[in-house]
Amino acid sequence: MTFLGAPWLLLGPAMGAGAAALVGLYLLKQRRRRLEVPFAQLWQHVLSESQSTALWRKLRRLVSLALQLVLLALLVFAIADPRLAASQSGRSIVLVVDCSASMQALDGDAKQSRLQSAKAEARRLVRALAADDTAMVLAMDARPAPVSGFQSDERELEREVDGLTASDSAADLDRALRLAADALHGRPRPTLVLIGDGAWDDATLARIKLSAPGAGDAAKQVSTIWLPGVDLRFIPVGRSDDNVGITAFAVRRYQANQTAYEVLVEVHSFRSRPSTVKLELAQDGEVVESEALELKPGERIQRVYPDLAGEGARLTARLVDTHDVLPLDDVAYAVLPARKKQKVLLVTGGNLFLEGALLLDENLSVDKVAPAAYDAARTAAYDAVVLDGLTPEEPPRSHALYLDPHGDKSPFAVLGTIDAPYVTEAASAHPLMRWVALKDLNIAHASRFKLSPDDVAVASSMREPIIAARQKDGRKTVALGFRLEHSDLPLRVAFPVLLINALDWFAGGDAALAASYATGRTWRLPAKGAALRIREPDGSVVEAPVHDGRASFFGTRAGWYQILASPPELVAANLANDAESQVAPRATLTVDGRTLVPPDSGRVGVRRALWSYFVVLALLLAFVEWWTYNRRVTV
Amino acid sequence: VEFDEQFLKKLEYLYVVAKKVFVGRIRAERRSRKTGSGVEFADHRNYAHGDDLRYLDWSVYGRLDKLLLRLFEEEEDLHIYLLIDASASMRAHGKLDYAERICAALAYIGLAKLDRVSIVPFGGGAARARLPPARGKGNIFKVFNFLSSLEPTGPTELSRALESFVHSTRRRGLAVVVSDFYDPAGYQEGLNLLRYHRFEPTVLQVWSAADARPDVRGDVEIVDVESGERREVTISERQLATFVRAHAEYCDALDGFCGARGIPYYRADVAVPFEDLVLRIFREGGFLS
Repeated sequence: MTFLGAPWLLLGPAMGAGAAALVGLYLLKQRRRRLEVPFAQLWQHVLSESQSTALWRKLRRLVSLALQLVLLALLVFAIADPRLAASQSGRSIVLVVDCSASMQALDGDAKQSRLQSAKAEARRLVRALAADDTAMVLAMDARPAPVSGFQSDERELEREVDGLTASDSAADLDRALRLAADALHGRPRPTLVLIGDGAWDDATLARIKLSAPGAGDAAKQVSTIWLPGVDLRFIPVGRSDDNVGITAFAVRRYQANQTAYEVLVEVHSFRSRPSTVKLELAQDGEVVESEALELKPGERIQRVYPDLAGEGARLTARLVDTHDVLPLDDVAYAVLPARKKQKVLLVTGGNLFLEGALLLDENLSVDKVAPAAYDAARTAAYDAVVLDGLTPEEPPRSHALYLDPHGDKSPFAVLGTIDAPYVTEAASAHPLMRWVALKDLNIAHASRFKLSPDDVAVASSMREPIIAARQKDGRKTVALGFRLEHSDLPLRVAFPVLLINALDWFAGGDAALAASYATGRTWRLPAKGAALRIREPDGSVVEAPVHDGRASFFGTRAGWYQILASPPELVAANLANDAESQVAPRATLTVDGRTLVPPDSGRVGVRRALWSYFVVLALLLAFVEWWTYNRRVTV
Repeated sequence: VEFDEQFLKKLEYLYVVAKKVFVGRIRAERRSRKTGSGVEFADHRNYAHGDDLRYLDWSVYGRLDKLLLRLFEEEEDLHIYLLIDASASMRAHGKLDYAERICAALAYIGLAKLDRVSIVPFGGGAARARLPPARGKGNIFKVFNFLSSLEPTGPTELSRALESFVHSTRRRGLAVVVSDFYDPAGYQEGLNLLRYHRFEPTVLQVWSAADARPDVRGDVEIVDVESGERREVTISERQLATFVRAHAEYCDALDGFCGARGIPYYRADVAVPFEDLVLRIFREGGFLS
C-alpha cells in the first residue's frame, strides 16, 4: 500500500495532537447541566441505582473514547490517501483519441464535431472502467502525446478527456501506436482503445501485428508495429464523407517580373456525388479571382492563375458555400514572397563579361569599384562581393565570390597550377551547379585548391578542386581557380547561370520562407539569434530554438504565423493533406486479420484509492457514537 | 395569574352550572346540627323554666296539655378555608397559577353562596398573612388581589403550616388543601391534624406531567428548589423509568391515604382547564355537598 496524500511527517503530529486533545476532553470533568426539581427525594431511587453502576459507566465512557480515537485515526488515514498496490486483475487501458484535423468534421448530432463524439465515447468508457482498471489518455495528432500517466481516478481522466482539442494536422497513427505499446509494456491486461473516425493510413494499419515477432520476422521488425498480447479495440465516430477541400495552394513571383505572380490551387472533392463549388482568391481580403468549379465524385482539379498582381502579402484561397462537414480545408493561406534587391559590390579593373552577366538580373543592384578603391569596411553594407582577380589583404565582410584568388590570402590555399584542366567531377547537387553543365569547358590553366573538411569541391579536374565553396560562420565563399578571360566559360550559357546561382546561394534563395507550410511538420525557418519568437494564429507567442541559422518550429494550426523578428515576417500554414481531407469514416477496422470491436465495460471491484472507504467507515462510527450517546449507552 | 373579565365570566358560568348540579339535592344554605333560631322545624322538647315563650307550641298544649317548646335548626355560616401551597416547588410548570385559579373559582362560588371564605397560604417557613373570612360576591376582587400577590418561596412544611392553621382558627369548616404535596416530612400528619380538629379536609393535588416525567437525559446536576440540595446524576432511559415509577407511587400513596380516611382527593392536572376540574369536583359531589 502506498500513501499519496499529506505526508506522515505532517499527519503523525496532527494525529498525536488530535488524540491528545480527545483524551484531554475526556479527562476534563464535564460541566453538568443544572436541573431544578421540585422534590429531590423522589430521585433517591435513581441516585442509588446510578451509583451502583458507576464503574460500568466509566468503562462505557472508555468505549466512547476508543470510538472517537478510531474515528480520528480513520480520518487521518483518509487524508493520507492510501492506495492499494497496482492490481494484477485490472486492465491497463490506453485511450488513443484521434485529435487530427479530420476530427473537426461536423457530422454529429446537432453539428457536433467528431472530436466531441469521440470525447463522449471516451467519457462513457472512463465511467465504465472497473475499479481496478487504470487508464491513460493519449492525444493522437501529428505529434501524439500522452496527456498523463496511468491512473484510475475517473474524474481526473474525464478532465483529461475534456481538455482534448483537435489540431489542424494529420494523425500519426504509427507513432501513437508505438507510444501506446511502450506505455503498455509489462503492464497487466494491456488494452488499447482507438477512438476516432478510422480515416488513417492503410499502410500503417497493415503494419500492425497483434502477435509476438517470430524468428523470421527480424527483417520487418523495424517497420512493423508489434502489439503482442494487446487487446486492441476500436470505437468508431463520424458518419459523413461529405467534403470538398483545397489540398494544395502555392504562389510564386515571376523571376523576370517580380511585380506579378502566379498561383496554383488544387481542389479535391471527396464527395460521392458531383458538386459545384466557388473558388475565391483574395489578396489581403480583396478578391482577385473567382471561379466556379464543377467537380465529379472524387475528382481533383488543379488551377493555375497566372499574371496576378497586387501589393498585399496575404493570399487566401477559399471555397465558398461548400456546405461540407469539414470547414478547415475550405480555406488555404499563402504568403506572397517579398520583392527584394540584392546589393552586390563588383571589384574589377573592368570585365565586360562579368558586368554583362550581372546586368541580366534586374533584382541586383551592382556597385563597381576599382581594385585600388577596395575597402573591406565598406563591404559590410553589401549582400555579396565579387572579386575579379583581386585577393585582398582583408577578406570582405559579406558573402564573396573570388575569381582566380591567389597568394597566401586566398580563401582556399592554392597548391599549384594545372594546365589545361577539364572538369571531370562536379557536385551537381550543390545549389551552385543548378542547371549548370561544365562539360567540355576549356580553361588555359587553373589553380588547384586545398580544401578543409567543411569545404565543397564544386568542380574538380582529376580530383583536384578548381571551383570550391565554403559555408562557415554564416558566411559563404565561392572561388573559381581561373581567370574568366583564360577560359571559354563567359561564352557559355553556364556562366550567367553559375553567377546567378552563386548570388542566389549567397542570398539564401532556397532558404527564403516558403509561400506556405504544411501543418504537423517541423518547419525550418531562417533566423538569426538564439531563438525565434513566433505568434501563432490563435495569438499565443512561442519561442523556437535556432540552430545553424534555422529555427525549428512545429506548426499544428492552419493560418497566419507572424515571425516577431526585425523585420517581421509572415508565414502561412495549411492542412494540405489529402488523407485528412478524406473524411469518410470507417465503421469497422480490420487489423492483422481481426475486426476490432468496442471495449467491454469493467466489472465492479475494490477501488484502489481507499480514502472513500475510510470516510464511509468514519461516518458509520460517528453514527454509532451518536446513537449510543443519545441512547445513553456510552454516557 | 391574571384575573380578567374573561376569568370572571368563567366563574359566573361555573356558579350557574354548579347551582344546576345541586338543585333538588341541597339547599343553598348549610344546616348545622344545633337547634336555634332557624325557620325549619326540627323537634320538640319539654319547656323548662326561663325558655322563650314565643317558641311554645300552643297547638300541642291544646291537644296534649303539655308544654312543649318548638325547636328549629339553627342556620349558621359555612366557613371555607382554601389552604394554598405557595412554596418554591409550586413555581415550576404553572402549578401555582393553576392553584390560584382553582382557589379563585372555589372562592367565588363560596362567596356567591354567602359562605365565609378565607384563603390561607402556606409554605416558606414563617406564617403568611391570610385573607380573613369574607362573604358575598363583592369580595371576589379582594380574593383576586390576594391571590395575585402570592409569591412562591421556601419549603412546604405542610404539617407545621396546618398545625398553626388549626390552632389559630376558631371556627371549624371546610379545609381545601391545594398543593403538590412535595414535602420531605410527609403530608400524613398535617391532614390528620385537620381531621382531628374537626375540619372537613379536601385534597387537591396539583399535578404536572413535566414533574411526573421530566424530559431529561444525560449528565445533570439535580437541585432541589426548596432545600437547595444538589446531587450529580446521569439519567438514562432506565433511570428515568425508575423515577417515573417512584413519582406515580408517591401520588398513588397520597390518593390511598385520603381514600382510607374519607378525605376527598382530586388530582388537578395543570394541563386540564381549571373549570373542567371545578365542575368535576361538583359533579362528583365534592366538598360543597
